[in-house]
Amino acid sequence: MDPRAPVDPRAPLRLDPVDGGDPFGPRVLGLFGLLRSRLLIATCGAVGALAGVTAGALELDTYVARAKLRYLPGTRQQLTDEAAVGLAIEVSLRRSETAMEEEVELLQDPLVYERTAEAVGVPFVLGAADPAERDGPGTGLAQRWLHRFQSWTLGWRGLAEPCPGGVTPAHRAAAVDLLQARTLVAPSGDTEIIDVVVRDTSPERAVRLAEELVGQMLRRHLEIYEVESDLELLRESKASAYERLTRARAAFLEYKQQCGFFDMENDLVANQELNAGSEAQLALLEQDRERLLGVVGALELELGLRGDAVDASGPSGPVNPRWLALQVDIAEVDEQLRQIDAVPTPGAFTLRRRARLVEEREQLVRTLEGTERRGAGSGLAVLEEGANQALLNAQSMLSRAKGDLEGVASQIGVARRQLAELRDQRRAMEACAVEHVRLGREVRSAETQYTALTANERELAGLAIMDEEALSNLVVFRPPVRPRFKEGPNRKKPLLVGIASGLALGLGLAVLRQLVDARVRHRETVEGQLGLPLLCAVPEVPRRTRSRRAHGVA
Amino acid sequence: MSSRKKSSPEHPFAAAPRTGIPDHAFAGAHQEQLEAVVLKVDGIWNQVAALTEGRDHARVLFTSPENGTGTTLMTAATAVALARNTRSSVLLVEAHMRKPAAATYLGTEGTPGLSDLLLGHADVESAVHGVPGVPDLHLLPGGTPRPAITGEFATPAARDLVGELSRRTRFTLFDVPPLLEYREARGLLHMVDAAVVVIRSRVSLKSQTARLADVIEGARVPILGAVLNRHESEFSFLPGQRS
Repeated sequence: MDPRAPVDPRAPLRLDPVDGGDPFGPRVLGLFGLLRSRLLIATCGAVGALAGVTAGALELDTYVARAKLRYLPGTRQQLTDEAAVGLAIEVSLRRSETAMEEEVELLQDPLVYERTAEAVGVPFVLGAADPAERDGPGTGLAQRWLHRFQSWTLGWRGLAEPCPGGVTPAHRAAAVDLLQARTLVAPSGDTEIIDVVVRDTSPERAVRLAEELVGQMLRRHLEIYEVESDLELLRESKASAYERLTRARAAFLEYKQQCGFFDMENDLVANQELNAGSEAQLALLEQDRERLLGVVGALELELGLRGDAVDASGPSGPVNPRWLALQVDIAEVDEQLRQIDAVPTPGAFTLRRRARLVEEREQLVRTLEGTERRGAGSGLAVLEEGANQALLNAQSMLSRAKGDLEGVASQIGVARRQLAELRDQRRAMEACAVEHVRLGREVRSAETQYTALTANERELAGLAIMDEEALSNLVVFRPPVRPRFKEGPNRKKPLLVGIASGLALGLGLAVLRQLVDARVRHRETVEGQLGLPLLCAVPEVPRRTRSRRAHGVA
Repeated sequence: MSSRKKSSPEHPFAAAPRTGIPDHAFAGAHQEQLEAVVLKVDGIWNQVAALTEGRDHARVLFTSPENGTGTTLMTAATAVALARNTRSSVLLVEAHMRKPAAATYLGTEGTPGLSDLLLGHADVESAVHGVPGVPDLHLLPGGTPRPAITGEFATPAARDLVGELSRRTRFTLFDVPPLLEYREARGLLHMVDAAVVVIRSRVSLKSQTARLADVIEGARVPILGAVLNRHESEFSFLPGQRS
């Protein structure tokens, strides 16, 4: 290492390796740090010990009350899967090998602790016994002082009056948590015995809590395994549900009869479909009527049956029969085209037929345009003969058209009446719909309730059958015993932890202090890090006020 | 060691009769302190004595990274030990003119001294004082306290003075103020053969010490070594342990 290299005062001390190894390695660094800061380390250790002692002193004496319960599994736990199949019951069976575990879990139900806290009082659970009250003539001085100190701390720790403003839900929850933390419920090996262990700050409190807890556990067990009363209640409920269902069904039926709609939903759908069909049919009939009115009007006009008709044999001459025949032919082609368009039929045949009719009409129209409307001059006889035939044809067509018109009008009337009836029916159904739906829901609700109760009844009945054979039982094998001696706390542990923590903190501070030291302290620093040969290390020689000192002979 | 009676200061550089190791006539707290330190500086004076191998005289400069490290005490103790053990003439030059203290340790007059000599207010014979009880040791104290004048040690006159003083003695030790703070004293670096760095344990900073070493080596002056003053071993609280 170049001794003239820049020195970082915060850098850890380094030395070039010398013969025999690095004389200033981490070990020595730690050793120097420890020695230099020995007072600091000792102080931290002492503070830690004091903290440990205080923490230990704050822990109140612990007394343990023990009780034993005996659990006897019943038929429910002993029934095998094969046997259960034959019973046709829908129950979740509990097996014997897990019955104890499940029973222990049941006894640790939070409901048990809640009831216990309510029974003994939430302030009782959250509070603690005053240690000083148990001091007697046989109590040692150190013990007395300890109890006085603990008694003094009860106030500011909130243990003397845990619920000064009354019991709140938070207090209840805290009491339950505290009871759960202080209680141990566990099976005793592979036996039928369940151990119940309760800890508290005085023997009286411990045994009282244990007694109440055991009582609540027995109660909880009976609640779970007591089936008969539940079955009776269930059957009563089921009977009520059946009555309700019957009433709902009767009311619904009566209302249907009253309304005349037994299947409201389907009837409503059918009404809508018929309504749509009738309206479509009516529209077609009205189109037909308009067409026939047009045809009748045209024929009447041509036959002079209307005011603005021209005398067929007037001064302008008779109607050209050829012209009249062409009009009739055109009207017939139009009728055929209307029929094709009214019922569209896919296919080439229909298309060709329609195209042919259109072409034929165009040809007739061209011919009509080139034909005189009135006949004149020679050929009058032929015209007269033709005119008479055309008139007959036209009259025939007119009567036919009028007949068709009357038929269509009649159909229109029927369709309108039908439509009106459908609409009346719909209005009637809408008027009944609200009540109809409500009554329908009432019936379905009653059916659901009855079905569920029936299923529960089957399950409970199955359990009752099994319980008749052998009911699962929980009895007190040994009641809670008042403890005679305290079983805790272990005050050595916090002391040791405090000392260890304090020493560790002191060591850490010592090493840190050594690492960040920017000043020259050791010979090794001079030679190693600064690279200067150390000529000598002179200790501090205090300056005294003595007058003379003899120079000693070596 | 035989004792020696306290005698009056003799003419500087006059050969004093060697009658054995004298009883210590140092009186006062400073002298007692000096006496105790003299016993501890064997490592220093040995190295200084070795410098005269192959040469007639040796000039060694003592300095420190900062004030208060005990440079004057170390220099004085080394001078006393050197004079006693080598029986050679030793001159201690106190270049610390602001706060001269060598005279107090050695029991001589503090004035006139170097400051007066450099200003021409005194001559060498009056400025150099014999040290009572140590015949081979002479002191050129700081003199009348005053701030140093920049460059006064670099003048030819100063160089001549130092050369003349050195020729009269075998060992010349210079007690120099901290070179990092008092840059005017760096002029002496060019007149010495070696340097010794005095470090005060638990006070002197590593960085400052390293800088001082750089300054000295920058002037091409070899560093004999370092003295760790007021050192207390971490093991000193154990019985039988010493620093």
